[in-house]
Formats: sequence, C-alpha cells, structure tokens
Amino acid sequence: MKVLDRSITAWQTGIILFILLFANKILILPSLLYEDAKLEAFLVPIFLFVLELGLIFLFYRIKTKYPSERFSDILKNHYGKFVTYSLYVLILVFFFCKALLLYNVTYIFFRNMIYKDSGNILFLFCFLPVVNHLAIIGLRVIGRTAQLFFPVIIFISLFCICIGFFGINSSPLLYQASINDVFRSCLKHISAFGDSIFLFIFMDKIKIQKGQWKIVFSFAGIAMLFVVTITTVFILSYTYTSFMHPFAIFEIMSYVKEFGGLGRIDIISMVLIIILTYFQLALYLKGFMESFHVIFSKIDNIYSVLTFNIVFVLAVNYVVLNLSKGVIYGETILPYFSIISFVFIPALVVVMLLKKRRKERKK
Amino acid sequence: MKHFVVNLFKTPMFLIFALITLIYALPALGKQAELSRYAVVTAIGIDNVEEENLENPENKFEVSLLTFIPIAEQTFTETYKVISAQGRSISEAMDLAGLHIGREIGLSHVKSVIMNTDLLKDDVSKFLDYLSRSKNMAASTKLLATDSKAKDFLNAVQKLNSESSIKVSEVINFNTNYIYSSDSSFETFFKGMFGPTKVSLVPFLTINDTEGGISVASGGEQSGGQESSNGGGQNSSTTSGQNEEIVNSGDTLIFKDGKLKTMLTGFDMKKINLVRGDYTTGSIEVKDYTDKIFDHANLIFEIFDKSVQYKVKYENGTPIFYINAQMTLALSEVENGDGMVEKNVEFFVVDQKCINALENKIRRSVADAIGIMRDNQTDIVDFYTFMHNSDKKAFNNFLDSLEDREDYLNRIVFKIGVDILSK
Amino acid sequence: MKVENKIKSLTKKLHNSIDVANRVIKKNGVDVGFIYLKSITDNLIFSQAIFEPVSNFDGQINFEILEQIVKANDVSKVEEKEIIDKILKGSVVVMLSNSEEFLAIDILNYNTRAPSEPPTSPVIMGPREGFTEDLKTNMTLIRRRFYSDQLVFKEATVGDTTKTQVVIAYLDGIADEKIVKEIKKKISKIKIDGVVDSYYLLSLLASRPNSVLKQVGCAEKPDIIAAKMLEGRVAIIVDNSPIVLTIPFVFLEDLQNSNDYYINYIYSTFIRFIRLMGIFISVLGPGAYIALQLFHYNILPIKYLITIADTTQQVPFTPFIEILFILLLFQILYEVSLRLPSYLGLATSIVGALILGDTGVKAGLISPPTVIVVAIAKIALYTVPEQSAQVNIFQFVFLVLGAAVGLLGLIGGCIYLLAYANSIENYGAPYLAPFSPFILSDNKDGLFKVPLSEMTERPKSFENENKERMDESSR
Repeated sequence: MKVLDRSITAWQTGIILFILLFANKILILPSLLYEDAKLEAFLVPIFLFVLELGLIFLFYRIKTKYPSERFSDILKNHYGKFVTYSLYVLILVFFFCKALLLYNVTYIFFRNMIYKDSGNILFLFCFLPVVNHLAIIGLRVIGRTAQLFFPVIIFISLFCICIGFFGINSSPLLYQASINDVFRSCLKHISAFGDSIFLFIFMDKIKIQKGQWKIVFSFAGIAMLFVVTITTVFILSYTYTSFMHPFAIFEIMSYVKEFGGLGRIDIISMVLIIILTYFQLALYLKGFMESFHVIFSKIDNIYSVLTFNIVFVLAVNYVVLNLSKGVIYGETILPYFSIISFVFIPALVVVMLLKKRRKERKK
Repeated sequence: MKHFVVNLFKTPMFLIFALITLIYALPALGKQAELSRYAVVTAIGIDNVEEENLENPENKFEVSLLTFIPIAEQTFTETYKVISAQGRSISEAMDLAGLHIGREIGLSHVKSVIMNTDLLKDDVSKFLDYLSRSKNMAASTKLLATDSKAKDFLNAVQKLNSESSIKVSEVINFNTNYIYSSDSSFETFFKGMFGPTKVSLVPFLTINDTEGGISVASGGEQSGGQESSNGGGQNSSTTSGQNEEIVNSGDTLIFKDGKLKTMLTGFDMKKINLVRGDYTTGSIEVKDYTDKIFDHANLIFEIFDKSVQYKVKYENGTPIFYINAQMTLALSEVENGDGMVEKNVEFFVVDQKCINALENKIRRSVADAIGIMRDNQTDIVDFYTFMHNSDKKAFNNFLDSLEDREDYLNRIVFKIGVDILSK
Repeated sequence: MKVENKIKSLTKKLHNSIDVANRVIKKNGVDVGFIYLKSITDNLIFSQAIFEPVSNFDGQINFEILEQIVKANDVSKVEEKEIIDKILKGSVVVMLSNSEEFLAIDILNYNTRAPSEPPTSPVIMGPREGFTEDLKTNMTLIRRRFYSDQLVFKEATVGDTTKTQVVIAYLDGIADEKIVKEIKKKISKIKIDGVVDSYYLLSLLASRPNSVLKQVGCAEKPDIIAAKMLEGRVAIIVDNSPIVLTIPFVFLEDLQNSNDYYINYIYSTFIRFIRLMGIFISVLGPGAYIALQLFHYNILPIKYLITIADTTQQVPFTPFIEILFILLLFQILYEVSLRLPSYLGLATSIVGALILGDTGVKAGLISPPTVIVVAIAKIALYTVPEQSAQVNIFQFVFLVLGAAVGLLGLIGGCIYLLAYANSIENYGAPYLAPFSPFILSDNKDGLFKVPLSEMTERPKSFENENKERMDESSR
C-alpha cells in the first residue's frame, strides 16, 4: 500500500481551501459567537477571515518565490532543523486537536438528532475507514472527489441560506454588544480559523499557474461569504435565543420544518454536514500525515495513519465525549494553538521573504 | 485465487469498511423499525396535578401525549390515543408515559404544546425547560394555553383529528397569520422572554360544552361581526354526536419574564396590532355614521395596506414618541339600522367626514392599545428596541431617571398621527 | 515424400476430424493433392475455381503453372509449417508431387447473420445497423463510415487454442499514438487459451482488472464506434463478437446514448439528467429507505410516517429482511424472465406482478412502500443499461450500508466509492472526467449537451492528437 500524493490544480486547491475554511464554522460556531458578540456576531467571522486572507496572501507570496519546494525544506534552510521540527510537531498536534474537536461536535450533533440509539463506536467505524481511505489514496484524489462534491456543497449551502431567509425576523433588533465583546469573541474562537496553514504544508503538491491565483482567492472569498451569511441568517432568525440552538445550519433549516409536504428538510443540512465532516477530517489527517512525515522522515507514511487512528480512538473514548467538554476544550486550549497559524508561520514566512528580497536587491 | 486475495489485501481500508459494514449488518437483520420502538407524539398537554387526585403527593405535573398508534390496515387512517402520566417533573412524567405504552416517546413530530392556565401562575420557563432542551422538538412547535384541562383539550383534538382534516396546529397557524401577527411558537415564546421587552404572547383556546357538535370556530362571540374577513365560516366543521367545541376567539395570554401578566381579548390584540407595522390584515368599524348616503349606518373597512412610522424626540429628557400610521382602507360592509345594504358600495368614495371619523376611531384604538400596554407594563410592540436603536444615550439617560425601569411606558408621551387613503 | 503421405500426415495432424476433406488426382504422372476443411470453406468455389482448372489442364503441371491456372485472388505460397494454420483459417492447400512448395488459396466461407438493430441500443431516429459476429462484416461497417486513409486496421491474434483474430481500429492523426501502442502491447502480452467473446478482453485490457467498475467501453453499433473513434478513441474488434470495445473509457460515456445525438440538444440534456438521477435512485433508494426506517424515522413527514407505520405493522419480518426478500424475489424473476422463452414470459409476469406482489401485500407478508421502493430502484436501474451490472452490485452494497449504519454510512459509502473511482486512470483518462477533474470544454457533451455547432473540440479528458474538430467558419 502506497500513499499516492500527486499534484493538484488551482481549482482543486481552491475547493480544498473552501472546505477547510467553510466546514467547521457552520455547525456550532455561530451559536457560540452569540454568547459574547450577541447580535453583532457576524462581525467576528469577518475580522477573523481578514486574518485568514492575510495568511493565504502570505502563501501566495512564498509560493511564487519558491514554486516547487517543500515548506519544510525551505524552513530547514532558513532556520535549521530544530525550529522546523518543533513547528511541525505543533502543527501535527494542531491538526490532531482540530480533527478531534470536529469529530466530537459532529458526533454530539448526530447523536442528538438522528442516531439516538447508536454509540460512539458506530461513528468511529463510519468515519475512520472512509477518512483513512481518502488520506491514503492521495491529495489529488481528495481534490478530485471534493471537486465532484463541490456543486452539492454549494447547492445545499445556498438552499439552506435561501430557506433561512424565510425565518429572518423582520422586527427591529437591539444591538448592544460593544466592540470589546466582538474582539473577545474573536480571540475565544480564533482556533476555528487558521486552517489555511494546510496550504503551506502541501506547498510542493500545489500547482498553480500565474493567472490562476484569483481562483484560489475567490474560493476563499466564497467560503468567507458563505460563513458570514450563514452566521448572519442564523443570528437574525433566532436573535435572542441563539444560545439555545447550538447547531446553526441545522437550526436554520429546522425553523422551516415542513416544506411543501416533503417532510423535514433539515435532513438536507445533515447531508451537508456529513459530507463536509468526511472531507475536513480527511484533510486534517492529511495534514497530520504530512507533518508526521517531516518529523519522522524515515518511517513509512502508513504508520502515521496508524498512529493517528490509535491516538484518535483513544482520545475520543477517554478525553472528549460530550459537547460541553468539547466546547471548553475548543475555547480554552485550542486558541493557544492558533498562535502557530497566526503568529509563528506568518512571522517565519515574512522574515524569509524579507531576507530573500534583500538578497535579490544585493544582486 | 491467491492473487485475487492478495490484491484485496492491498486495499485494507476496503476490507475494514466491508468488515465493519458486515458486522453491523448482521444485527440489522434482526432490528425492528424505529417506528415500532417509538411512539410518535403530535401534541403535548401539560396540566398541574389537582390536590384530590394525588396518588403520589410529590407529583406536580400531568403530561398528556396525543400519540399516533399505527393499526394494521390499508386505509391509512390516523389513529391517535391520548396517553397521560404524572410525575414530579416533566421528564419523569414523559418516562412514565413511555412505560405505559411500552415505547419510547418520540418528540420529533410534535406540532403543538398545550398548557393549562392553572400552571401559568408559576414561572412558565421552569416547566418548559425540558421541552426547550429537547433537540428533537422543532423550534416552530406551537405553544398554546387553555383554561380547561390540557388532557380534555387533547381528547377534543383527537376527535377533531379523527373526524376532519382540520388540525389544531392549522387553527393556530391561521391565528398567527391573520389575527396576532406574531408567531406563537415555542421559539417566539423564548425569543420574547430573552428579548429586550421580555414579553411573550401565547394564544388562548377554550373548550365549550355546547350542543351541536365539535367545531372549530375562529372568531367567537366576543369579536362577533368585527372580524369580517376572518370569520369562522370557512373554518368550522360540524359533525353530529359530539358536544365539545374548540373555540379560538383570538384571546392571547401576555407573559412577562415567563410569568403570566394578563389576558387580552382578540379585540384588544387587534387594537395593539394597529400600532405594529408588520400587521396588515384586519378591519375597522365606524359606528352610527350619517351623511348624504348613509343614515346611522355601521361601516366596516378592511385594511388594504398599512405602514407605521415611529419617531422619537427628547424634550428635557422625556421621550416623545410619534406614531404615524398610514392606511389604505377599503369599504367591505355596510350595515344600517335595518341591516340592509343601501347602495352599491363599489363606487363609494370616502369623503372627508368619513375619513375624520375613521381617523378618530383609529386614534382612539391606538390610544386604547397604549393604555392596555401601560397598565400591564408590557411593551408588546417593542418600543424599547426602537428607542434604544435611535438614540442610545438619551434613552439610557431617560431610563436612569426612572424610579422603576420597567415603568418606562408610562413616562413616554405618545403622539399619534393617522393618514387615511381610501381605495 | 509422396503426396498421399503428405496428406495423410496432415490429416493425422488434424486428428482425423470429420470435416477434413482431401483429394488426390493424377495428371500426366504428377500427383496433385488438395486438403481443406469442409466446415468453413465454400465447396462450390473449390470445385469451380480450383479443382476444375487443375483437372482440365492438359500437359505437365508444375507449381508455376498451378499458381497461374487457379481462378482465385487470395493465393499464396506457404511453407510446410504454416499449412495447418492456413487450413484452419479456411484455405485449401494444394501440393504437387514434383514440387516441395505448397499453395494456399483462401476460400473461407460460412453463414453469418445480417446486420440488424441490436436489442440493447435501439434508437428512435438514427441508423439501425448493428455489428454482427463476423469480423469482416464489422470491419466493413466501420470502413463504410470512413472513406479515408486515416482509418487504420491492425490485426493481432489472441488465444493459443482459439487463435481469435482481434483488430485494432483507430484514426491515424486523431488517436494518440501512445495509447495505440499501449493497447497493442497489452494485447500482445495476453497469453490465454481462448477468447470467445470481446468480454474476455474487456477485463484483460482494464488498468485495474479486479475492479468492480467497468473500465472499457463497449458498443454494438457502428455509428457509436465511429463517433468514439472521431473523438480519438481506439476500437477493438474481436472476431465472433458483436460487441466492439473502445479505449480509453470514462464513466460519462455510458450516460451518453446514441439517441442523444439524433434529437434536440435540450431534450438530450434533460434525458441525461434523468439517467444520472436514475442511477442515484437505483443505487441509493433502497439503502436510504431502510436507513430511514431503522435509524431516522423522525426525518419522515408525519403523513408518510403514518402510511409506513400502518402498512408495515402487519409485516412479520424486520424491515431489512423484508427488503432483502423483495430484492431477491425481483432478482429471481428477472433471471427467469431473461432465460424463459418469450411465450412463457407472460406467465412469469402474471406470477411475478399479480400473485407475488399483489397477494403478498394483501396477505401481509410484504408492505406496499417497500415494494414501491424496490420497484422504483429496479426500474431506474435500466435508465443506463450499460452500467446495470455495477449499479445492481452497488444497490445491494448501499442497502447493506444503509441498514448497518444509516445515513452516515450511505454518504461515507458514496465518498469512498467516488474517491475510488477518481483514483482510476485508464490509459490516461481520469475515470470521472470531465466532472472531476472538471474540464469545462468536455462538459459541452457531458451532463449538459450543447448544439453540435458548439462542439468544436475533441475531448480533453484523454490524450488525442489534433484537438480541433470543426472549423470556426462552419458554425
């Protein structure tokens, strides 16, 4: 069994980026944002997406400067092995924790909604083989499969948003949160963002021609637009009771419960969440595998998958099994990991770019 | 063959996936359909336990569930049964009800929750807590109150269900869209409670024991001819042999902070709705009107179009609230002393006198509505948010100047302007 | 050696089969021997064009004269070791006692079916010719569509015992040379005892022979093959098979149908969506139904819930067993109706539809919704008959998935399957192209079909030379 990682195109990069930016922000995030930022919660994703776009821009700069090199190699050349390895260890833990949180949230959601009698084992059994398969079969296949599912994702998201518009409150709303509240909320939930470091890790596998960068940026833009719209629609339809409804995209749909005699259309949002979770988990595993491969370059890549699975199953069963724990862990521990994506990597990259520019000027 | 098997092992994920599927598929062969393990509940009634009926003195609630019971027939009839159980808490009562029928209670198809008014003296949110936490109950579940026992109400509903295609939830929906102009779901109850005004509305339905059969009447005796467009005619169904009547006359319970404040009649609600911009249906009656054409006639106008503008100004820290209602009216019924239609009303042009009369009437209604809200300290229209959003600082100053912050309605000076356009 | 002895030894080599015919005549002291297979040669031509000129010849006959007097066009000198081969391929071999050389004259003839409309791909409007089992006829049918020197037929023989003729047909300057080479290489590598039908080659030519997915295209009509060859595909004609294979294959090809090209393009777009939907319903229908029943009853609308609850109440089995039972029943009926002579078909349909279905429901053994779901799924299967075998397998797989783990399993299965399909590349063509990877220009004839005037390019999903199909001026 071999891991076949071949290059992906600009479109596929864009779609993978879309999934990374979109998937984990539509389920519990909007409701959590309401806690601090109240009705102004839609500002939080806007602020954080600006940071995210900055990260993507940095990726653009470094990718154009070093078109076909591995990120770890560039880091090794500039900062030595210690910095590279320690950064990659952090990234490995970051992706693992995010995968854990995502799985946890999805599990709680489906356990509550449609799998009342089924245990955690069933979920693990459903998710892990498919996610492993995706990760092993390679980045290009993930890209292609994501490409196939992308219209479905877009269609369902748009459908949810359209349905959500019917539920929006027309009466005036009381805006009372201050800018401080918004920023507090930003800091608290920053860990939900910063997934674009995935692009840095797979820098060498991404093939983007000169004119195609706008594709990548527009996919990031669409993801941002969707997240902000879904957050806004959710907050506007539930207003003062947003905190009572943890699962945003589902709640948007369930507000308009029976639609044209078709029954509960909220199943559509569940389908979306399942698809996105599968892909997101696969991408996190891919990130995990790649960092693992950089740290232990002599060990076969398959062992990274094995490690992930074992640690994941143990962690899920013994560490996080209910929503409150998951949320606490998401709000308290994970924000520190965001330092990697929003401080370490940008700082390292900016310094590298400056150095390179200085060299070029000297020449 | 060996080669084939070896090839299979090159894709271990496929093997694992297939294996797991098979492991789960075998028990699935013996798995009963969820439908035969769950009782599908379509309405929940909540009563308090009467003193003399106490089996267990600690029991506080009696929960009645209108449950769908499948029967092996090809006729697809909806057969419902009311199951009830008592308990110290709602969840305990629910569990017991499940035990009574030997199935788990499935709340995913609940369309309405009926509360007995006796319960409402306490904080309602206390016992609605269980339901609000239930992830399976949709937020759009209708919430309503009745003065008789919720169990009896459900029994009446069950008869209604089995004998006609009208459902109580449809009656409430009709209310929502045409009479209250406010959604009366579970969600809106909490929305109001956690909102700035803390006011929530719950529709109130009664059961009358009368001869003549079970019927659904929207627009009872209290409102009478007032509700010309929303009369019960099309909405009532009559079958013989029953003597219970679910009456929806537009009465509404007003809650503040989850506690019952007062009950408003449909008539009062109509007045209040005049002030609310999002409500466009309804009618206005001018009584005893005389001019060249009419002689002591009662004219009933339908609201064709309406827009309401608010404006706030502060004078010496006291807010002056301007309400300007612009209405397009269409004459819908003329009733003179003898009850005869005198003229063809299609070509009737409203003259200034009539407009003045209408304006007076509307102004009086609006003043009444504000009076009702002031008396009960319930800001149903949500002036609070408007004032807060238009000038936050001045409004906060104003609130600070009050002894009782809840009493702000009484300190605001309202000025009402009415513009009538006739169609 | 004497001519008689030669013929004897040849007959012995052919195991004295009863269709081996031989004749020895003496002509002015020279023995002339003939040997051929009666079963595949034309007796009339033999006697008129070969035997008569030789027996009527006056004078000393020798090999040069023999070559001249034979009234046939396909005449060749052969060596001794080739003789058996020639005889087996329908030649008569003539030998002389005064010469060590042999003359083979091709008089192959046998009865073949006339080209008729194949039952699997009928068209409402359009050509009705279909391939037959005869290689020559099939080549004729293709050649008639290309009066051009670009059409190339290359021959290969596969099968140690059957020695089946396989013809690789492609358009020079359009088909990619690398693909042609690869196919030739693959065919030459095949060491098998026999190739009875082109299906044998189908799995041997696939890049993943063990895969459940179909990886080689097949068609029964020359117009389809011509269109595919114009796109740059390579056709493989196997003797004795009316099915012609095409390579490279992408899944989309089976969604297309020759009908689509002979009717309005908007309608064919609509029909293609219907076909895709048919596949979806067929694959996921029973699985989704069982998942709803076993795991997610709360998603069903109350009205439908009531119908299901009322009708399934009487069924003695659990839902999974019930649906398996009905599926198996259908499959049995299908097999029977396929094999049964047509005059018995009516009887099976009465037994199947009326007795088993209707009475089963009335007796309370099966519930109507389940019957409906299975019926819809099974009918939808045949919106794309080319894929019906695969879809049938997946239908069952997804049924088990739905029953085992519900919605999560269904979607997980979909992702797994599509990722797997995406990992297949057949002769450089991604299996699910042009959807993933998305190729805009190929989508002109993908799910959406644009008018012919817009299809100016050859597919980009796989390698082919000369991308341009139509000149701008012709639009």
